[in-house]
Amino acid sequence: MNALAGTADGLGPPQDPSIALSSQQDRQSLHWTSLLLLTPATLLLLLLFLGPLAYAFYLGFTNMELIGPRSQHYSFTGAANILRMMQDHTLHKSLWLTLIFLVGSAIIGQSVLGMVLALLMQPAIRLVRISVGAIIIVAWVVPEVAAALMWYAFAQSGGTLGLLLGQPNTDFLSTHPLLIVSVANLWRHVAFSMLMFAAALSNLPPDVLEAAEIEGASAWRRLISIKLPIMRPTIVTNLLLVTISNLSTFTLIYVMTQGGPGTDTTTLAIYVYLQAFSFNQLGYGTAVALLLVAIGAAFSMLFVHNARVTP
Amino acid sequence: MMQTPAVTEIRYPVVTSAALLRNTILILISLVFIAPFIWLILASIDAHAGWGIHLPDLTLDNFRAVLTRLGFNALENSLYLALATSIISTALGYLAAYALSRRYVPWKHSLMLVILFATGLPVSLLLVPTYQMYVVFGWLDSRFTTSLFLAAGALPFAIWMLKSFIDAVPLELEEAAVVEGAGIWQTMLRVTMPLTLPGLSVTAIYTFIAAWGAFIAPLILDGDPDHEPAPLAIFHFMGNHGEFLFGQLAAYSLLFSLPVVLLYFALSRQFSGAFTFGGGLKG
Amino acid sequence: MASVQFQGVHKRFGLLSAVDDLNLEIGDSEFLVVVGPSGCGKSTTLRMLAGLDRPTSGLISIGDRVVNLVPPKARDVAVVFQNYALYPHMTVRENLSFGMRIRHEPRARINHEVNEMARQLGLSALLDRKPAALSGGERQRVAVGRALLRRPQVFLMDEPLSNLDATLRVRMRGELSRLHAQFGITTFYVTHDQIEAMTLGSRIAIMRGGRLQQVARPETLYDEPANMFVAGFIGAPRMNFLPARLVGSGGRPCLDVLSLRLDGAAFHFDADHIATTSFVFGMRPEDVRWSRQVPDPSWPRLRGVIEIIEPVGSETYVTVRVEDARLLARFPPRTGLQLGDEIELSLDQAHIHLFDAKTERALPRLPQTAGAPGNDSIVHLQRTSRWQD
Repeated sequence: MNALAGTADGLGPPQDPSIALSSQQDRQSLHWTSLLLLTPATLLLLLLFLGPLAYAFYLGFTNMELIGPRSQHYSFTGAANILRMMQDHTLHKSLWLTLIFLVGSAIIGQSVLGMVLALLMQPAIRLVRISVGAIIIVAWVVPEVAAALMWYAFAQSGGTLGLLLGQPNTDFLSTHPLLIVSVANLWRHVAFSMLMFAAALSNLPPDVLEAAEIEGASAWRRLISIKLPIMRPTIVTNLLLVTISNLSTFTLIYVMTQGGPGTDTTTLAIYVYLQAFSFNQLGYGTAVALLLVAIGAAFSMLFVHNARVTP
Repeated sequence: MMQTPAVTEIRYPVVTSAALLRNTILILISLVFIAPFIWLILASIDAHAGWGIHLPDLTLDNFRAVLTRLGFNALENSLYLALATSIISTALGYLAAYALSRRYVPWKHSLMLVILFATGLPVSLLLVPTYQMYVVFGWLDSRFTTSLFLAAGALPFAIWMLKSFIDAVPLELEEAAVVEGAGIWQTMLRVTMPLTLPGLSVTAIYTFIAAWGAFIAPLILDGDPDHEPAPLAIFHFMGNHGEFLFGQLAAYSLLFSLPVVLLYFALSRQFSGAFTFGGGLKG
Repeated sequence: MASVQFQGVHKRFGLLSAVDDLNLEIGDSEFLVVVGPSGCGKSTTLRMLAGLDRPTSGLISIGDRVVNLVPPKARDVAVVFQNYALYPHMTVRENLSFGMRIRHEPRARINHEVNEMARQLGLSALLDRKPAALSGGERQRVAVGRALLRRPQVFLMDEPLSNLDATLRVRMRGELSRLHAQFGITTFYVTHDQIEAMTLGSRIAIMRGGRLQQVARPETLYDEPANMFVAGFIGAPRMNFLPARLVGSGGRPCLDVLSLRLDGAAFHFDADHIATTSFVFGMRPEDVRWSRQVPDPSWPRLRGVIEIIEPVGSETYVTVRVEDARLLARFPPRTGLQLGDEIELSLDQAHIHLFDAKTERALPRLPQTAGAPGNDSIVHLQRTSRWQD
C-alpha cells in the first residue's frame, strides 16, 4: 500500500506518509517518540511565540508603561485602549498611511509589476532573462538595512534620483516620503511575486495555449482569457502572502525616515514601535499591534474566501 | 496545380518586433532597478564620496577603514545571530517536521494551517510582550536569547519547509530500514536525513539569510553596544552625518550584503536555477 | 480543395533530425493515418502542419497555397490534442464556443451551433460542467466537438484515443469513422497503435526515425510491406523473420532457410541482390500452419518442438523451436497440443516475404499478381483513392 500513490489516476497530491506508517503502529494514538521529537520545537514555540502572543492579547488591554510607576503597577483597563485609538488622530493617519502603502506598494504594485515582469521574462532571450532576473532578485536578497541605505542615498538631495529627474537639490524623502518609501518597498519585494508568477506561467499547460492559438486567439486574448484565469489561485495566494508580509514592514521605513518627516510615513508597524519604546506606552503600543494583526487577518479572510468561493 | 517556389526561398523572420519590444522593456526596467545600487558601489571605492554619484576617486581605504575592531565586531555579532538562529530553528524544526511527516499527530491538519499562518505574523506584535518577558527573566542584552527569539520566529517557516522535503522521501525506504531492525533515530539519521540534505540546506540558508539582516529584534532586546549586529551599526552610522563617512558607510554595507547575496546564488545553483531564471523555465 | 502536401520537409532540433525529407500527399477528404513508434517524427509532422512548429526546410501546402509563413489560426485547421487541451476554467459550452466568441459571431448563432454539436456528440447534458468533472471519453468528445465547430479544411488529431481505456477506445474509433463519413473533412491522424491505424485509415503512412517508410492502403501494407520495419510493425503477432541465403541452383534462384531449400523464382533479384546473397525470410504467423491441417503436400515442411502455447480464445499462438530458431504460428483454438510435443509445420509458399539483409528492403515479387511497381525505392507513392462513403 503505497501512501504516496495519491488518487486513482495517479494525479492527486501525495498523501500524508504518516498514514501508511501509523497503520503499522498504533492507529490513532500519539507515539512517545513523536512527542519526543516535537518537544524541543514546541517548547521554543510556546515560550517565545505563542507565549508572547497570548501575553500580547492581554497586554493590549492594559495600561502598562515601559518605565515609571506604571511599569510595575499596571492594571487591566478593558476597552480603554480601544477608546483611545478611536480618538487618536495620529493613529487614524497611521491607519490611512498603512492602507495606502499596502494597496499601492503591495497589492497593486508588487502583484502587477511582478506579473508584468514574469510575462516579459518568459519568452525573453536567455541572457536578458538571467541578468535582469538576477538584478531584481539581488534587490530582494540584500539585507533590508542595506536596501534602506541605498534608497536613502538615492532619494537624498544630491542623490541619484535627483540627478536623473533634473532636480538635484530636492530631498525627495521630505517632499514625497510615502511615495519614496512605497517605491523602495516595491523595488525590494517585487522579486517574490515575479518568481511566483513565473513558476505558475511555466506550469501552464502548453497544449491548452496551443489550442487557443489555433482557434484564433491573439496573444493578448490568450493572456486575458486563458492564462490569467488559469493562474487565478496563484494570483490570490500571492495577494495573500504579499499583504501579510508587507503589513509588517518596519526596518525599511524606519531606517529611511524613522516615520517622518513628522508622522508622514508612520505606518502602523512604525507606530507600534514609537508608542511602545519612544513614548513608553507598552500597553497601548501592543493594542495598536493587535489592530495591525486584525487588519491582516481581515485581508486574509477576504482572499481565502474569494479563493474558495470561485470554483 | 500548386505554386512551388524554390524550397530555399522560404525565409522566416529572425527577430519579431514583439520580441524586440519585450527585451527592450526588460532592459529598461533592469536599468531602473540598478540605479540605487550605483551609489553603493561607487561610493564604496570613492575617497570623496557624498550622497551623489560621480566619478570615483578610486581607493580601497574605505574598506580598510571599516574593517576595524568595531566593524568586525558588528559583523561577528551578525554572524553569531545568524548561525545560532539557523542552527536552532533548522535542528528543532527538523525533528518536529519529521514527527509531523511520519507520525500520527492529533489535529495535524489544523496544526499545519496554524503554522502556515504563523509565518506571517508581524514581529512587532511579538516584540513588546517578549521584551517584557525578557525583563522578568533577566534575558535582556544577550546574543543567545536574542537568537532564541529569532529562531522561534523562524521555526514555523522551517517546519513547513522541512516537512515538505521529508514528505518527498519515499516511505518504502524507511519501511525497509524498519524491517531490517532500525530504530527511529537510526532511520531518521541514516536514511531520511541524507536524502533530505538539500531541504536541510535550503532551510538553514534561508533562516540564516533572514537572521543576518535582523534589525528590530536586536534593537529592542539587546541594548549592549558590544552585541550590536551590523544592521544596527549601519543605522547608527547613518545618523552620524559627516562627509568623510559616506564612503565608509557604503563600503561597510557592501561588505555586509555580499555574503548573503553569494549564499543565495550558491543556493539557487544547487537547485539548478530554480530560484533564478537560469534554467527550468520553458520559453 | 483541401488537400495537403509535404515537399522535402525537414525538421532538425540542433543535431537531431526529427523529420527527414518528408514527401507526402493527402487527398481531399482523405483519412490519412500516420503511425510509428515514439520518436518517429509523426507528432512533429502534425505540429508543422498545424503551424505550431516551423520546418527547417521544405514546403507545406494546404489546398493550393503554401502555408509555411501562415500562422496557425489562418491555416483553417483544427487540432485534437492527445490530452484534449480543454480550457480547464471554462464550462463545456464555453469551451465549444470559445472560437466563435473571439470571432464575435452573433450570440444566437453560437448557441445554435453549440447546442447542435453537443446533441450530435451526446454532450447536451454536460454543457455546464467543467472539464475536471468529465470522464476521459467525455472530454475527448468535447475536444472533437470544439475542433469540428471550427469547420476546418483539415482535421489534425494527435493520438486522441491513447488516453482512453480499451472498450472506450473501440467505441470512439467507430465514432470517429462515423464523423468522418458524415463531415468528409480531410484528416491527418497520428497514432502509435497499428490496430487503430489499420482500422481507421484509408491510407496509412508509416514513419520511423523521421523517415517515411511506406504510404499505402492497409491491405497493401499488410501484404506488400516495403521493408522489414513495416513488415514487423504491421500485424500482430509479429511476422517471423529467419535468415536466408541465396543459392543459385541450375540457373534458378533458391533460398536456403533453416534446412529448407525454397524456390526463389517468384522474386525479382537485381545485380546488387545477387552480390549480397544474404537475406531475411519473413512469414506471418497465420501462414505457418500445422501440417496435419494442410492437405497440400507440396508445401515446404519443418519439424520442431513446441516451446510456448498461448490460447487467446479465438486462436492459439504456438511457438515452435525449429533447429536453432523459433517460429510463431497461429492455430485454430482447440488443438490438444501440449508443451514439448513434436510437431510438423507447413509453410504457405504463396505468402513468403523476402528482404535484403543489409538494406532491409523488401524484394518485389515478380508481377504475376497486381502488385507493386518493380523498382527498389522504399517509398510507394500512390495516387489517393477518394474516400467513399
